[in-house]
Amino acid sequence: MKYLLPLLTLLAVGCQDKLLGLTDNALPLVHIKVKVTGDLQQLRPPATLGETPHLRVALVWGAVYVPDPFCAIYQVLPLDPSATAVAQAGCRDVFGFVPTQVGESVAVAADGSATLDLINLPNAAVLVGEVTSRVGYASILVFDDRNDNGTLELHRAAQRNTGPGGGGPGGGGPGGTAMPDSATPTVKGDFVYGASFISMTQPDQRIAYLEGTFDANNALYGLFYPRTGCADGPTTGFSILSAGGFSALLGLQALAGAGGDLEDPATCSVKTLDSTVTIPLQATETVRDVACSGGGTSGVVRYSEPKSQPDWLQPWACVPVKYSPCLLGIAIPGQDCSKFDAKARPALAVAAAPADCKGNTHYVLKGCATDPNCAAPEWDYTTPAKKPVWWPCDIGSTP
Amino acid sequence: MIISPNRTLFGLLAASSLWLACGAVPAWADEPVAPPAAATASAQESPWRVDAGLLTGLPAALGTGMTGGVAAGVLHAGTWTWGARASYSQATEYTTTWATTHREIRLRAVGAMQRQIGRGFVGLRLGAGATALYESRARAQAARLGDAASSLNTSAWALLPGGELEAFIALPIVGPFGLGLSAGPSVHLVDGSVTPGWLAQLTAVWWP
Repeated sequence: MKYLLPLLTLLAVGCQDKLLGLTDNALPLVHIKVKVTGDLQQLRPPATLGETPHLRVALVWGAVYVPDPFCAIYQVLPLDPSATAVAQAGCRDVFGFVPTQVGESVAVAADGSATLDLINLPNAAVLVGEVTSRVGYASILVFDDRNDNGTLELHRAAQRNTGPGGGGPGGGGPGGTAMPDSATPTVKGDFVYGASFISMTQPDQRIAYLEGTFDANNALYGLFYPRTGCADGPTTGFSILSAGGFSALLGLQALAGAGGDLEDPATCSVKTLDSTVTIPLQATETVRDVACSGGGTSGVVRYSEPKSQPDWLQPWACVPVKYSPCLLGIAIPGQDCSKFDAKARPALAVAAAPADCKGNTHYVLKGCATDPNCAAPEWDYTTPAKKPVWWPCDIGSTP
Repeated sequence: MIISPNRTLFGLLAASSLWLACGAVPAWADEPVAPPAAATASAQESPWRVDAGLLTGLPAALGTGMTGGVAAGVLHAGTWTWGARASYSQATEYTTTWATTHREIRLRAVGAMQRQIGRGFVGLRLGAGATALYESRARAQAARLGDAASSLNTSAWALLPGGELEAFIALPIVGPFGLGLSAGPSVHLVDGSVTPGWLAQLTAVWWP
């Protein structure tokens, strides 16, 4: 008994590992190695040359986004020159990466290298699928953190047809264009100079995060930045997926339900995070869309009341309010194109003034924000007394 | 005026010790205590007391939360009242990036002084010994990454000197069986620092 306590004490002194307890040392879950190539100085807009650049990379998770039919059709197909002009000026790349959440960000070293240490995994809001199999895609954006706050601010399109929650401060951009329907930006916006995943119509390297196993036949995955044609999908956890990109016309046909593979299998690859993601710098004007959030306009055209004249200096066109694969001449089972009136043009589409993010507005004389043919119209300007004198398009209550 | 709970507790224990030490019938008195007529004969006659039950307290080295588990012990009342106790308990606490679990095995040699009140016993029990502690830290979200991130999880062993001073009550209820209740402050030596804590136990008692 009298030896017990000294013995235990000796044991205690000599037998302790380092206890960490609740020490909150946040070890990164994974590391993503990035290499930025190119000369930033040659790409900087003249107005920013007086600033000290703060080049950073950020991991940005992609939104579930389906382009609105007007943009998808008229941006790709030369059906109507004036409508195509609106789509080119007022629609983002319909197959482009649409950001939704900005994740980790880190400064780029002088030699162009950077390592993103991920402390947190993406949350369920950016994953598509079910709990047994869901996937998220991210693009690594290279940006000049002009306000030096250590993160990337996403921009939003200043479009009037986004409904509640749409629009908002653009956050600046080349030229610092003021937003027509929002407050003047109060911060200097970040400029994007490159991205690993810009558009599905360009070669891309996307960061994939998969929980469970990837089911290539899952219809949801076919709508979420599809890369059909690539034999291998993402692996469980993080991986780097590459693909060569597909033509916009092929993508449009796929959107219309034509099916078929999009990617050339020879251009596809799946790599682990041991690989380095190389991102070439490019002019900010060519990559600006990837920092523009979708603004809740996914997949639908939203309509506005023609209370005041639009900016006629911007491209405008009279366009349909009903979009159909019939416009593309694509035969879809169950679709009777003989009843589709492709000539009706009861909506006025106007591109937003040039700003950080492209936007457009669709006006109709009668209808609701999401349906110009709604049973109980929110506005009706079709009577001769109320019809705006400047209205250039059809009245056509039934397109 | 703010009264520290620890100071109050130690004050009560000191007063209790004094009361027990000056009491008419200390347990280490040479003469055996005569049981009251109403007391259970076997409980009063046996010098041994065995108990087992539930334990809760502040984790030895976690700094927060409550550890919970089971405890058992034996006490022999004679010239000296001595015994041994052992317990197992565990506690898990969370930070934004870690879930930390401490599993503790407390081994104690105990000495006690007690006196009889009615059919029960009250006293103070001083325990000293070591606490074997196994720490496992699980990185939050690592499980979602599968095996790839399992290496982020850590574990460690430690043997910490420690002790408790508990006030206790043991009450025979049916024959040689009864209930025991004890509570009091504890200390551990963690990384060279004295770390205070507390402990409470509710046990079933057997006087063999």
